[in-house]
Amino acid sequence: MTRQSFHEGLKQLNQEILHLGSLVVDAVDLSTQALFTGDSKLANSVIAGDEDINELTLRIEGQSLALQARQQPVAGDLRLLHVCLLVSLHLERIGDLAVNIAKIAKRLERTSAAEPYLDLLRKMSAQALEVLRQGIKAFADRDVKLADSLEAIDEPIDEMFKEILSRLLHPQTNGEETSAEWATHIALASRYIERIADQVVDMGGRVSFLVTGQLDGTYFDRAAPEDLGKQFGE
Amino acid sequence: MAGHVTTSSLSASFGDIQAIDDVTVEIPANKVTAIIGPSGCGKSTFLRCLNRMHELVPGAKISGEVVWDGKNIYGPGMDATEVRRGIGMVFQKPNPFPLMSVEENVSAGIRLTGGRMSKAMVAEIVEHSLRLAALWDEVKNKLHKPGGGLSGGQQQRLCIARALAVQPDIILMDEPCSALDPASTQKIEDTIDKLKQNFTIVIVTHNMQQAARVSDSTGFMLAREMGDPGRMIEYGPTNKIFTMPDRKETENYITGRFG
Repeated sequence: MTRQSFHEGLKQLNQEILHLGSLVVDAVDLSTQALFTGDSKLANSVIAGDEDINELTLRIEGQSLALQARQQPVAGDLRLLHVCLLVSLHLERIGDLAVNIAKIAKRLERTSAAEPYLDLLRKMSAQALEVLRQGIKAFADRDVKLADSLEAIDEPIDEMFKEILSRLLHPQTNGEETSAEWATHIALASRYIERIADQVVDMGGRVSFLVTGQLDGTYFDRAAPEDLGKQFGE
Repeated sequence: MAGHVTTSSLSASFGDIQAIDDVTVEIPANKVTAIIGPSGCGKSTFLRCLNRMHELVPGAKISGEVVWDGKNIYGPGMDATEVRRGIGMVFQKPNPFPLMSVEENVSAGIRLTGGRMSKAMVAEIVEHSLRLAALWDEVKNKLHKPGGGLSGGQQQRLCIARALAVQPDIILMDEPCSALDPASTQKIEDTIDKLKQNFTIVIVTHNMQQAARVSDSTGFMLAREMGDPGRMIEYGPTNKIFTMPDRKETENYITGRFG
């Protein structure tokens, strides 16, 4: 009664998730590169590439539905199917955030006033890429320890995000004018990078569930930095 | 609440062959408990130990205890017939008395074990039992037709009604749906769900999805090697067994990695 074709299907689904992960890592990498260089060709390639990400996500959803409908998965198989679906949605969202960053890359004015911000954004995106790579690795290796450590790697990103907001609200102008549009672009770019890492932290929660079977919603609370209000003088 | 059973260190054998070894479980009243496991794991033997049917096989031996609402059913002074009245059994193949009418089938048990009863009282018990077994509407106009003339699914519900008529606490079901078509299976499963309000149900099934659908608790039995006795590998809430079993053997069996 061993179920070879079902387990082949699960393996394939697992591979598709890892493929989706690599597409999304590239999208984040290229979109942030475009943000720092202003390379519109690069930015456009990220925007166009999102179609592949969406298509693959849909395919994963379809495969997952078909396996659930036809194979009555239970136990570890059921958790894997459930988690593949959720992880694919997290990854797809990260792809969308990369597109948002690419769109800002095409419009952002890179004046000298932008330098300290771009510096912080560089550090943020390097850290976010690290979180993303580790999150995918945690899924690939079913590594609960790594999955649970993602929150800590995410923390500096939240801090840098708050710092950017704080600077934007209290600018130390060196005689250079900055526009509201420009400031909005910087704020949004930092927000998008911060959200990418948050999606990965949630993904890590799914990986923990996959392995332990314990439904634990604590990672839901990690999404937004708590004292964001401070930046707005609350 | 009546219909609570615990087994402790229950072992059973046929001659030199040990069928089950050291099964200790608690079966709660008014719940459905499913026993699953591959062929030859001893699940039917376990079931038959719960109402002293195992001992009907020549050479059968048993050790350990089966305690039904505080009484060891194998204890001195316990009457096997009384045990089997309180703990009824429904078998894999529907086995109504084919030539007896529907009504006679249902009332067979009370006519054998009960004292004298008025016709009206018997009729009342027959109707009540057929309703509980979700068969009344289909047979109320053919109560005097032979039970053998019903469809397979109806015959099985007739057997359930016959088991219910003697007012047991517990109903044991040994693969009750394996000879039935999907629609009849669905009806039996719905019936089981309703019956647990009044009875404790223990069901042995090859069909893991059926165990997942109908039961509150699930026990997984396994004979590790050819010739080994069956053991209760894991026993727990059905939700847990089918989402996060504790034992690797359970996981491997229910996910179809062996068996």
